[in-house]
Amino acid sequence: MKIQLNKISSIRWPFHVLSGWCFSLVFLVLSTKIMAQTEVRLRAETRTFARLPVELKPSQLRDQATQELGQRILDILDNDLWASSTVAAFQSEESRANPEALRLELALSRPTGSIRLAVQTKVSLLHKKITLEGQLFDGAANKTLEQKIYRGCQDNLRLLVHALADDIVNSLTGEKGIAKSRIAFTGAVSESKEIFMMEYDGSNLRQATSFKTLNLTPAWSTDGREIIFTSYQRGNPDLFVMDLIPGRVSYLIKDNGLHSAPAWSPDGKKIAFVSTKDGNAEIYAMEVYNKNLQRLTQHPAIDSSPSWSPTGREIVFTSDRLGNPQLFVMDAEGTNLRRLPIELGYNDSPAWSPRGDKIAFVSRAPGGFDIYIYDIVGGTATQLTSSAGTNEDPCWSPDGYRLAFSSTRDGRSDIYSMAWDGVDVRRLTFKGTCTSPAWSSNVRPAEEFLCKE
Amino acid sequence: MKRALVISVAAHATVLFILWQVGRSLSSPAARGYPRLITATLVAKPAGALAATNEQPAAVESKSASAPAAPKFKPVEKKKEPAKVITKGSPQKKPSNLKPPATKPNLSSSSNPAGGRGAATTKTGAGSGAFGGNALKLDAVDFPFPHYITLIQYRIENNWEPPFSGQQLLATVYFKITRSGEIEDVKLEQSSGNVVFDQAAKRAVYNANPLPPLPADFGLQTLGVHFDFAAN
Repeated sequence: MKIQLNKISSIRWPFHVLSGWCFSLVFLVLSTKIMAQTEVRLRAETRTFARLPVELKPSQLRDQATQELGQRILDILDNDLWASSTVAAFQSEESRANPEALRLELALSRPTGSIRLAVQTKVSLLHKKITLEGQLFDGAANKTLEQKIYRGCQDNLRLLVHALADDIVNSLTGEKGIAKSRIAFTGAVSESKEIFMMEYDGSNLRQATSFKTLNLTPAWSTDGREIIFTSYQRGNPDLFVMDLIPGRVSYLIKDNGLHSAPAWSPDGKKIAFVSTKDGNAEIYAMEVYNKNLQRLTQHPAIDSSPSWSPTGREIVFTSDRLGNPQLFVMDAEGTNLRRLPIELGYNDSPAWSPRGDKIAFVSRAPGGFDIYIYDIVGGTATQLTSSAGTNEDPCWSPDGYRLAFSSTRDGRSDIYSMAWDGVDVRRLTFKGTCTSPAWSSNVRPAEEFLCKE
Repeated sequence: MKRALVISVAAHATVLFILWQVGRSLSSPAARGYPRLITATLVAKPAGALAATNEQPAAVESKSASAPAAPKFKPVEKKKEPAKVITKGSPQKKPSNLKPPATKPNLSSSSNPAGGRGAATTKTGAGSGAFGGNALKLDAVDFPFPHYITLIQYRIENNWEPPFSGQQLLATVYFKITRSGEIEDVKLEQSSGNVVFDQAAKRAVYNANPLPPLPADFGLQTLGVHFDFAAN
């Protein structure tokens, strides 16, 4: 079956986004009339959501807060809200400088009915401590809808604004927002490979481990406090867990054989991973609290790459039991096994969307791999990448609207992110040795807001 | 013995009746002056509006790192040096601007012919076109959170992909929203007679889950909504 991308431009405007389905509808009508054969498979869904326009009012400055600080907050907020995929933020200053833009913004805000959403921030800075007050209001009715205060260290300004952005997104759409989320990945440091982490947009990059060994396949805990990864510290690939707040690393599993590809269950109680301790690669689940192991797969073929469904009731994984690697789903206890009916030869690295309706995976292409999405409801697979080089290891943003992946499209391997329909690709790292991205939830431990003593 | 039985039965009946009454008065939203249900209507977009959107240039996935040309969100960290902290009127602002001027004419030209999105989705413009927009009807005039209704309507509308039918259809879906914004008890209240259309309507509701959390000042645990999906 041929699979072709329904090409849609990167969408910047709520109107354009809305018109996505109109476009596809016309396309559908035309294609059924013109083409008798179903040569073209349409995307199961176009991106149908329009962004909500939200005006960002200039920050009100109190106690020592400077104009510069106020503008910096607005710029971070602006960026965060756009990253949410659901909000179209615009700053008042931009509109005022350009009367045409203001008129357009007003027109844009009409689809939201009689309300005009705006955000007012108030900021004060005392002894390096920032108090940021965010107020979401309806400019038409002049009514405050939500109000919240964020306190933290000056050094953590970005995090404070991220928290505000996620709360705005949640109030307006019910979505979680991704501003507080982070991406961990593997990157080379001279001879060794270490775990790095950065914010969702590639900023604040830092090295999390420095063991001077191979450290691979990071996975986040749901509460954003811990990362599990495979490390060769003992010479054997074992699973380690790193508590990020004190920065402490400890063994999770120390056993014979290879241990890799850990995945934390959505409720945080179990960890699925691959182990060869019984001879060949099988998938195991471990209770976090008592470290009880349960073997989930029983097959002489190689089973790998487990990924939990958002309900925690099922696990999707790769197995070559039919001859070549294919995607299978089983219940969390290892029962009820079935193959995903994807008509592609070599599939691997499944990642279940946090929304539950899609599974991202890679399939082998001439130059390496490309990223596809399997739509569970429609039963169709859609190709998202088709560039030179290889595109691997897809993982989902916590709101399920974006994917991070590693790609060699610019020569060497770096981390990129894109919207789930393949548009809006952004390069996040520039090291040239980055692989296995893992996207965290949008939960951040409260300690991270505080000043470091 | 018989008398004791009669007294016992009577006493139990009285207690049960009192409990029932108390329970009813506590759980009845009407008793508190809250509306139980709201009704919103979605109407499919006009075919005329569809044509206007074909102008979109096709571009899947820009292959290079020049992706920042699509300025939906911008890597801020690279601007960390103080010189680049943007202040008003800074020349650096333009390149990193969220809405490059180039796209603006595009927007205005496309929004005018389409019209439907802009005008007809307002409450006032609801009756303006044969198609287009969504008429928002409130059974309860005193639901004091108009912004919330707008938000949920917006969200469900954005998740609705009506099948092409060419007929006049109306399907009503009923559902409840919990305090946290979760959608519960989705039911097809009135079928349009077209199964595909009905399913699209229900799916629009399922896909919109979760909705924004109910307003903090709203006194009840759930809000019931009747949502009309209409194709003209």
